[in-house]
Amino acid sequence: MKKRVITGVIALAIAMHAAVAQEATITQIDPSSLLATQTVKLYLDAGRSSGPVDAATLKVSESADGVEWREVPVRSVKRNQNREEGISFYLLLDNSGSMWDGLDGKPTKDADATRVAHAKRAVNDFVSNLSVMDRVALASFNTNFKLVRPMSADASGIPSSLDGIKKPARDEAYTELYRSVAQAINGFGEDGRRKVLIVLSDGENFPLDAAASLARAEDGIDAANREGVTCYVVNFSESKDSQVHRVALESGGLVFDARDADELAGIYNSIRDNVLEEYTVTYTAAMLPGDRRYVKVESGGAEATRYYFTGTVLGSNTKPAAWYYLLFVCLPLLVWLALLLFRLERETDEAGIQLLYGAAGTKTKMFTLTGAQTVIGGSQAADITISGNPALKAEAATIVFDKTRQEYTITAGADLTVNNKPVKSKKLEPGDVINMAGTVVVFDNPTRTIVKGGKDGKK
Amino acid sequence: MSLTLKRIIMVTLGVLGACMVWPCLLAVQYYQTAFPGYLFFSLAQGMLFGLFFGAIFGSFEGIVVSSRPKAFKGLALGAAAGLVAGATGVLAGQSFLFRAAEEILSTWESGRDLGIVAANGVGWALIGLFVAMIEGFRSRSARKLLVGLAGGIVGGVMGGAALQALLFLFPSSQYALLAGLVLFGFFLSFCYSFFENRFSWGSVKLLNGPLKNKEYHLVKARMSVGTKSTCDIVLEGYRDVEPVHAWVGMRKGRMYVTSAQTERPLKVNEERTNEAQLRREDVIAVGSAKFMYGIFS
Repeated sequence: MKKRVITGVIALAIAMHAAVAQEATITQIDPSSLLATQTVKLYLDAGRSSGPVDAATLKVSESADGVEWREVPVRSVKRNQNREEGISFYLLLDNSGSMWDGLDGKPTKDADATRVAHAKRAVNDFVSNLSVMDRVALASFNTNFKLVRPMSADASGIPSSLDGIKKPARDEAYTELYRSVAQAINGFGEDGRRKVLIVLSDGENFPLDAAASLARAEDGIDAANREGVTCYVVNFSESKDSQVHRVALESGGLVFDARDADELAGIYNSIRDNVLEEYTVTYTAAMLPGDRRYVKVESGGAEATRYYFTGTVLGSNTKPAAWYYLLFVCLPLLVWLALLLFRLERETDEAGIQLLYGAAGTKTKMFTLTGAQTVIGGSQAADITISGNPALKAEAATIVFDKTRQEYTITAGADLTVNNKPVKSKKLEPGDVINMAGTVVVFDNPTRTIVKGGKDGKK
Repeated sequence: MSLTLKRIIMVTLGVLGACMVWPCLLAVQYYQTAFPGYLFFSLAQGMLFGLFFGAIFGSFEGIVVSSRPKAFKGLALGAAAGLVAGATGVLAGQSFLFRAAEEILSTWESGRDLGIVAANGVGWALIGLFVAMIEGFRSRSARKLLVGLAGGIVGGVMGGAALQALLFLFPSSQYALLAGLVLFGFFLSFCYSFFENRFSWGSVKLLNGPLKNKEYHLVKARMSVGTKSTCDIVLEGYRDVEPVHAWVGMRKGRMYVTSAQTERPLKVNEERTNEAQLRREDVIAVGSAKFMYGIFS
């Protein structure tokens, strides 16, 4: 009798879902091969589709806007592929305060009679029936989301992990349903399998601080669609959340009502059976602009739509080229040529000394050598006064110009070096570096440097 | 040439590259439906992207050392390296976006658009990384690859974030892509220039002649000096300089200048030498050209 009730509840739920979901459902889309092979894999619950479901009868279309559709080639249609590849199940258990009440919603001292005890028994029963190909993760939620056991092929630790779920303290006993659903969806990782989230809850989304909580059911819907997760929701009391069923239906899942552990176990196993019966459809995706791609599957009068992400890192454009585009190529090209042709440096056209280093804050400066004799020093009486260096003598050096030989010679008035060598007197060459008590200048003279290939050929 | 001027030129080149690549990208994107798949679409965009940025960055060295043959050669080599680097960068960025964007987006309980910005930002960092490493590939310098690595990641993240922020704020505007690309080019070139300075072992400054005051950052482990356009320091218009006259390079943490054993001498502080360890303010004479070694910028 009990079994008949359970079967009836499940059948009713599936039938209700089929009516809402237009008889067929795309339960998951996997675009991970889109870039490499231009193929997309989708999982299809054919629902009440009449007739065979195969590559010949199945029609897949894509659209950038959900209005104009383009049929795309179907590469393969397989059934029961989930049985071969395995399924990733994420079990999310409500551990709010009310889960520690009895099935009638009243407090009980019998630990085995609490809702949470029924839920634990159902989960134990479920994981004991999993295939070796399947993977399972377990998390609980109340005010906080808690990952009890990460995604793993080894389900043997689940019973002991369930024992670790304890009654929450008063301030931890709230029901952060929407946020926890979104967090669980993110916990699957990328393994290319079918991803199924089963949420068991006995109440509504009831955060600790409702005003501060930003989580909405839409976040779960978006996350499920983007992550390719199908969400199943199991209500375990008379009180139901008004929105969470949307996460289930819009992600290709179902909503169930359960009253005890037996019904729960039946529902869990029914979900697995349902997923195992799905079709895996592989098709060649269209090239359409836009971040969102809608997919429509039609088979035997049944129809299902869903979308996935197709944004490109460099963006997209639907407007034709304009004439002024050419300017954006030509003008930068001209600027580039100007940079290339314009010499940023040029040879000096008069003899002089350039201050390289001086006192702190002194800027590089050029002094022209005009007379037959130029005195360089720290005093104002010098022909070239370099101030700011107290160590620099009043007349540190004298540069004499020999008109006949067109040569400049430096004579030291104090200790100085030319090209790091101490000198008393030296004929200067262009580029010679003169250091006078830490003040460093460079001598330059245009007549001495260029010839080979140079433009002026002054020598 | 001062570091500031060099940075201005680098940044200008980055902006020029962005301006040129913008209409080309738009044209390719307009014909997206004509491509057989995302692989070829991404490859085409990446190659275009790398072609322009690679060519323009490849010519940088030639422009700053005032060597036109070097600039044109750099342009061609940069374009070739850019084709490969751009394609690799965009494929890596696109692959990341397709695979990880959904993962990242689902962690955001609200504001999925910001998630897209973040995912794209990482994608652009990958593109920036490969584009900035073009100069390292072109000049076959591990040190410059390192500069490209650092500059590309930082510049790519900053530029990519700016670009995506603009696309986020003005989703239907083509000019948002232009402005974003310009910012990307700006940040990429600025960061490259910044890290080039940070990774350099000092510099040599020309003291006379037609290239007077030009500074050369010592970034490669061995830099050639001569009249040949393939040299790292090209001395056009100087007397008594051989095609490859000398090498300046780092060995065991010390900087050396080495003669290429030509008939014409190499002098350090007026003394002829085959090899000398350099100290700050040493004066190196290569033919009639004189350099000072130091850290000027």
